[in-house]
Amino acid sequence: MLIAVSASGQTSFGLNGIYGISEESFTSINSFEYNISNYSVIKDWAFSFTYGGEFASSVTSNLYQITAAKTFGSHFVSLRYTPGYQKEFIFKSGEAIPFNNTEPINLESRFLYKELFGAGYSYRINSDLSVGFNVRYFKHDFTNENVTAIFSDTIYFVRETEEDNSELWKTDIGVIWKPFDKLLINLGSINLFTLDSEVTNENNSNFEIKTDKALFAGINYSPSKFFNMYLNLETNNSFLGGMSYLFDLNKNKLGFAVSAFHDNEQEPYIAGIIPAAIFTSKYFDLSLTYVKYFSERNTTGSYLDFKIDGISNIINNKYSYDKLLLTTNFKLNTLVEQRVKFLGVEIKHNIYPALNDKYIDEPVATAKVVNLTNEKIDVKPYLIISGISEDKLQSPIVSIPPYDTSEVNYYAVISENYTGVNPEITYANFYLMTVNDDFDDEYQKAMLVNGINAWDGNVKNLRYFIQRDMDFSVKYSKTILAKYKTEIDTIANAISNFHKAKIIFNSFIENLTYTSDPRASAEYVQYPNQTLELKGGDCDDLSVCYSSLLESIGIETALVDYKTNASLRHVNIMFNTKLSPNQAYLISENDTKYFIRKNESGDDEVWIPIETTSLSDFERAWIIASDKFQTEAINNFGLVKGEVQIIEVY
Amino acid sequence: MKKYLLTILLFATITYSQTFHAEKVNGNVRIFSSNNTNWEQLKPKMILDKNAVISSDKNSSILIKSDEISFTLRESSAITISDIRKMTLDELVLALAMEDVMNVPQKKGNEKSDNTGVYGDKVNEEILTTIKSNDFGLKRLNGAKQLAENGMKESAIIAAKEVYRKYPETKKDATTRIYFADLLFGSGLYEEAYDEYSEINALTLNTDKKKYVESKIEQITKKLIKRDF
Repeated sequence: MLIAVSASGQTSFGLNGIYGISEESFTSINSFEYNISNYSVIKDWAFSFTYGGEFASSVTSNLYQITAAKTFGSHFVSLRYTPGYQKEFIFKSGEAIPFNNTEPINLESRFLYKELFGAGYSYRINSDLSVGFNVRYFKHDFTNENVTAIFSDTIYFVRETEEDNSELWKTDIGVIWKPFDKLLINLGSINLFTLDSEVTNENNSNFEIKTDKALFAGINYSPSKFFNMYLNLETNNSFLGGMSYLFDLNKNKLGFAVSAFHDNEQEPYIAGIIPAAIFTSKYFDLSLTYVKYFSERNTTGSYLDFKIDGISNIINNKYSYDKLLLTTNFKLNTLVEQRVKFLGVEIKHNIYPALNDKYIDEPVATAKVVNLTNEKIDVKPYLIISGISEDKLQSPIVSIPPYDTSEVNYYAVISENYTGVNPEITYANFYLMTVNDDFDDEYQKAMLVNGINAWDGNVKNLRYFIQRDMDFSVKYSKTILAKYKTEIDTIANAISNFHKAKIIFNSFIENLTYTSDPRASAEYVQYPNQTLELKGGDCDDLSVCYSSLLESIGIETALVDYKTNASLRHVNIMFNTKLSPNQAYLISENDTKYFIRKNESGDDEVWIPIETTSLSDFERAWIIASDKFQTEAINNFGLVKGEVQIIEVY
Repeated sequence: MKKYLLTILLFATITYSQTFHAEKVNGNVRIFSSNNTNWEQLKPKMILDKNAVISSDKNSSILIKSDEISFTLRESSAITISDIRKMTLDELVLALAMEDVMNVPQKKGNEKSDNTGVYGDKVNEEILTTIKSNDFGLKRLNGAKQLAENGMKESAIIAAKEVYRKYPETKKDATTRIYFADLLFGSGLYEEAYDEYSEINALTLNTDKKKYVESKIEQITKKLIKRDF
């Protein structure tokens, strides 16, 4: 008579409830049975526990397994202790033997099978290919009771127990290959290398775990990030197939899986079904798995049949009972996982503090950044320029597709309180941040920060000098115009702009003298208050100052950049009188002194140029500038040849 | 096509270096020199600076000369000295492109509000009288016509364009506009001529002019279609 005392499961068949290899971490931590290559997506440490009960004649519960696993770069190691992976068979002799002439006894033979521990190693060759192996240790504890007759004055019988223990080591190898994003192939050996110690009693050799060699092939297909299908085949004609569906639950996943299996040694053809409920999160996973066999479980059996059939799997065989198992995985990440990385940083501009507004629109540097993960990542770029901005300045977030490279722009804000007058080499610290509390990567590069009056020579950028000192200009212009209030109130509204510009120019040039750039080697531009305070400047300074004064009272201006002489460039300004061509006679009978420009609405307006270095009076400055513009911009086609450029201030 | 031509012509070298003087003056002819603030009487032998404007009254004329050009400005006409020059067709195309470059560029969105309040505004307090400044514009068109009659068609076209920009009322004179549109047509600048004829066609025209302008538009349309294919 056979009594199955303890219970557990099958070969390509773990205890998690999902039998495919997927990105869900719990599917691959603790199951050498179908994860032969020991593949894992764990980033650092993981611990797994499975506790469950078997529904035999009475419910027995066990701690099935404890696994500890760790990833070291591309290497992954796991150790599994399996106290619950055991099965014991007890055979009792059918006849009672009189014992010590008192009561009869039944002799027993016990066959205890244990899998005690295992270890696995895998190496990730690249994101699509991983290889590995596992080693598992089994123990057979067999005991047979015999009765020996002792002859003395009388014959009596002694019951003796013969113990016959042996060990079994199994090693298998496997490979995981991901030919496409949604497809994963899992190949491995079954019982490739086995090493066992001989049992003492030759009769017991028939009861050892069968170790017939076979091959394993699994396929895992994930048509969407929620849905996963898997099929595991063994060349010994067993298979297991199933599917899982996981819903997003905030940042976690919740779902179910169902699998069915065919075991060559069990009836019916589909021997059982395994439904499971699953929850997975960043730090832990849970699965509640129910193993339901379709056939009546054998609680008794023939010794002879057992001797012939034996078992090949401790946790899944025809004597196994239905089970309910709870598996918990804990994932501990002691590392800051680097999700993005700098490939390089290019400084686009050395810093000119005066051009502050420009750096809000145009990046000061562009970094090449690679996403190291298999998911889309939002990258927050931060910049600190030593001596300029002590706080981290965040630039716009950039999304980078999985494993892709993208350009990340860094913008800067230079404090208006920055007062450095001399150029200096400083360091710009670039940072990348994703979901971690710390930066994923940082990069340092030298950067030249010019003095506050430095200018890059691009006339277009003089506008920043004009705009920057606007508060001063408003005050200054208003003070001048206030003195001429009566005069301004009496003039025709149409020529108001013209008249105000004339008053301001004539006041502004009082006490001003033309002085050349004080620094021969560098472009140097004064802010309006400096020009007025220093009582002079060159063409850049005077144009900036006059333009700023006009803009401050709402008169539209433009800079005129003359590049006809390559070695000596010149800048003056023109302003919008707001007169229509029909009204132009109000300011001059000489129609070569004004120019018609269409405004943004398509209306023609009269603009007049002013030579700001002509410090005699407004009329003279107008005559000189209009003559220059007419000659170089119009007659010599400077405007279309690019030798003369009109640059709007706003 | 216009852009294509412009690209090629950017390398053209154009300079203006002629010096004119007044050879013979009849009647009342005035000059507005570029370095002056008022009109003054033009006298024989005067050197005329390149940006000076000369204007003749009724029954007046002036003969001006440079080393290469001799030009008579007839009565009731005005001209800028720098307009008296022989231009190539390439230079004409360059000059026609100038208008776009001069204009204020279009911005994205309306970022700028009109100034309505600096020191108070007086929008409603007066309606300005715009005097008839057309007279001088018409004189300028006469001057431009004379450029064409003296073989300087390209300069004439540019001068006329400038007049129409600075004296928009003169655009209502269909006869003169047709004259300059014909010059564009004759120069082979069909797209520019088409624009001009189309604008003229929008004016109130008598039957003959209407017929003429429409026939020109039709001719150009056929030419442009043929060219595109």
